[in-house]
Amino acid sequence: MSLLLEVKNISRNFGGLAALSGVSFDVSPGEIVGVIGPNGAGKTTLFNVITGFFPPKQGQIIFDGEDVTKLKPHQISRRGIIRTFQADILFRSLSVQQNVLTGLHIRSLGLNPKHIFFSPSPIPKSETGIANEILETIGLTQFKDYMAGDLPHGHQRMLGIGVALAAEPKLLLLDEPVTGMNMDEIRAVIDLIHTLREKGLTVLIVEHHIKTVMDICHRVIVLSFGKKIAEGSPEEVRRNKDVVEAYLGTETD
Amino acid sequence: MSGELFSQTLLAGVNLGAFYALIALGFTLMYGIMGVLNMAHGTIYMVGAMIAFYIYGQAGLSFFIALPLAVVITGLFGVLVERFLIRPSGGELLQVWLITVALWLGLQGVAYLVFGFIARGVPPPVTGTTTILGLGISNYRLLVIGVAAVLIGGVYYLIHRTKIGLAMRAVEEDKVAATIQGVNLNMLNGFVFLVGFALAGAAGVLMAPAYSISPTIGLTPLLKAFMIVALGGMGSVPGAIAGGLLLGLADSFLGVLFGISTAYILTWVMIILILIFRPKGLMGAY
Amino acid sequence: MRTKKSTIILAAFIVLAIVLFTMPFVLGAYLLSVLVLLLIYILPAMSMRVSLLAGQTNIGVVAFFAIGGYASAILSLKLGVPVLAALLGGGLIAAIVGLLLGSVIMKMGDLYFLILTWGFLELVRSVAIKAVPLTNGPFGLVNIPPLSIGGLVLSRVPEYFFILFFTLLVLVLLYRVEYSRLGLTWKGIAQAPSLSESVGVNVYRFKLVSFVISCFVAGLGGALYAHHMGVLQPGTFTFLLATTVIIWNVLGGVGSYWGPIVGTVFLLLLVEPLRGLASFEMITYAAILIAVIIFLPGGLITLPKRLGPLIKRLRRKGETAKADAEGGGT
Repeated sequence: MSLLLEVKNISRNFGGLAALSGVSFDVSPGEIVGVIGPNGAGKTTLFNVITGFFPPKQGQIIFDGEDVTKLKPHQISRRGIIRTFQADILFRSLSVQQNVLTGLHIRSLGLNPKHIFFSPSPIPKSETGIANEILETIGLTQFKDYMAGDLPHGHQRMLGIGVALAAEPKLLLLDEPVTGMNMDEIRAVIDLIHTLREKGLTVLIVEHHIKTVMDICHRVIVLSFGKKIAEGSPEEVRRNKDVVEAYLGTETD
Repeated sequence: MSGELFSQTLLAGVNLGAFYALIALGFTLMYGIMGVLNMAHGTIYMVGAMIAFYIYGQAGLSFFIALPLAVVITGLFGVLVERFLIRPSGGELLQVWLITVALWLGLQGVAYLVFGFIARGVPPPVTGTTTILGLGISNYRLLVIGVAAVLIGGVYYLIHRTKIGLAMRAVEEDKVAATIQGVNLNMLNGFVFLVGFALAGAAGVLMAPAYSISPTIGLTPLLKAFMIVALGGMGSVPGAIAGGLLLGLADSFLGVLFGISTAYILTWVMIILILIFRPKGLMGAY
Repeated sequence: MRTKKSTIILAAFIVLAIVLFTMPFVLGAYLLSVLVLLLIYILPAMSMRVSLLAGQTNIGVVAFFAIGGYASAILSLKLGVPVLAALLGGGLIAAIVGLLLGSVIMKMGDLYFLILTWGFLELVRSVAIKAVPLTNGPFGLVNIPPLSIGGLVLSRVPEYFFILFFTLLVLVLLYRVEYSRLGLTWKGIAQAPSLSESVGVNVYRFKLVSFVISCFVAGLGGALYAHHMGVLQPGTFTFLLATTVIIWNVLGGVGSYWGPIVGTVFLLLLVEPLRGLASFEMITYAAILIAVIIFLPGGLITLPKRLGPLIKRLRRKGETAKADAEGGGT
């Protein structure tokens, strides 16, 4: 079974600070891998490097056999790595449905001038249909026509996942998806990820919420101060002495 | 170019540079600290010139009374504008920008009504030349450069050595953090407008004897302000000063060599080229 | 309520259509030319909207208006190209210049983009003044061929209808673009470029496309202007005109497709009666701008939405007053 993602020896500095030092790990197709670590450990920086928003000072990212280290974010997205954002980044003045629609960009036929000017509806009905299906999957159908910026926080984050799903990811990168959610919403996200796991989607998830990570991940990687300090099954990691030390006083349940 | 022509062009360039720096300084402060692109900046310069015309030219009072008076009047006007026009407009950049456009048009319209369309002038407040290092410099030019230097120095002192200057720098870096630290944004904004408008008004009085006075003289300083802050870096105070000097010298030398209209084209080309190679301006990090 | 609103809008459109079709037979020559100019100016106004959709402020729209005008005029005047082809040529040349300029300055960030497109306007005007053999310098080009179809010159009324249909055609095409995926992608880029990148949008390319289309439409408008006016002078294409185009957009409302149209019509009609009195013109303009910005921040297009609750409140007050009057004495 070939590896989907290989992260090789990634280092990245900000000013004098080493945000990431020599981080390496692999992800196999169909796995759900969690990345945890105390604040400032470099988790989001890792995502930014993988998705091309920051170049690494050193190291390589291999996706599906191809070296994607130096590619631009939209090129990496086109190859199937889709991410969500830690901050609430949405198209706030567009409707919920429109937000999901934008996610269909890569496979859309709607950019063909023939379609823009000559078809009966400017946005292909098929695409609207797919968007509605995704809204069903994430449970936001009733908010279809609401402005994204008007949604409560938990729904906004769910919408962010919906937009990413619309882009048909091979590898989904979730950056702290359940931050600020209540227990019901977190349950919904966990169920969603279980469903996606059954469909064979590979997921890499950064999370603070340890319980979520333990619940859904096959494997967990622990970062601290930019270095990988542990890797293994959730149970192994939980019992790891170094991990407990790194988290001393900051364990979230 | 002969030595005499060179030194006179150089002096003219420094003179222009001082004038431009004054204008650009107020403009860049308002942009850097408040995000306001003040389209009325040139009209405030015009108002300063008008004040010089009426108080110094018509009423015969001393130039050295007209100057501080203009600074006070335009400064106070700035506070009023911020309070009653800018603040109610809601703070959205495009809306605020439009309000400054409206201010520009309104002021110019009023100037047409009060002053009329025909340009007039005022005589220089000091005549004669002084010789420094074998160079003959007109006293008026010395006055302009001197007063501008004092004002610019004053602003520099304000920004780097006073509490309110610290507040200005803090807000420029991170508005939210600054408010948490206790900066009263409303008062600060009023103050920024005061300083910005006062600088433009001062420039208007200083340069009134050099050019003709009419309601439309504000357009060129506005253009120059834009060019300078693009050149020097938006929001950068050293950038405004350096950029002003650079543009003044460029305008002077290129103007002598190629004529004013070609010089204008060349300065735009110069700015575009500089921005291609240094995308944040000469000194900008904003 | 929904059907009532759409019936009102439909009725308004029908009235508008009737008005537009009968105007040339009702208005005198001067007023008709004012209407024609209004139609022509809608094109640069909408072209600015195209660039605003993608989050860029193309102040230089007037520069491309000028380039389109000069290109079309020179093509037809000096090279004998038929006017209709020259119109298209003017638009295309403006688009090509826009492509070249855009690819250079777009990477510099939105603020510098704004300043440099304006610098470009200054450059274009200065070149028009200096390049005497091509543009006849400050005095401008005269005797530009009027609009003609297949050699038949369009007189006043047919010219009006041509310009009306031309503008309507462009407006319809722009409407389709705005509500298509292309428009959606632009709006996404304007609000959250990193999110757009993350779903595979090449933000740079899409912004460039928006800029080029903006230049194309502005160029078409300029070409129409040149052939309608018959003369073209560099002094027309000023920074003030560029600012005015932005005002049309912001005043009308940047949140809606109809914003620039409403803004342009409103302001041009407003300014018309004041044409002789420059000082009062400017003061009134300024006062209205300030009033609209402070009281209608979304632009004129939000007026119906604002009036709705206001009217309801007044109606309710009227009803309570009536009830009090009738129930009085109990």
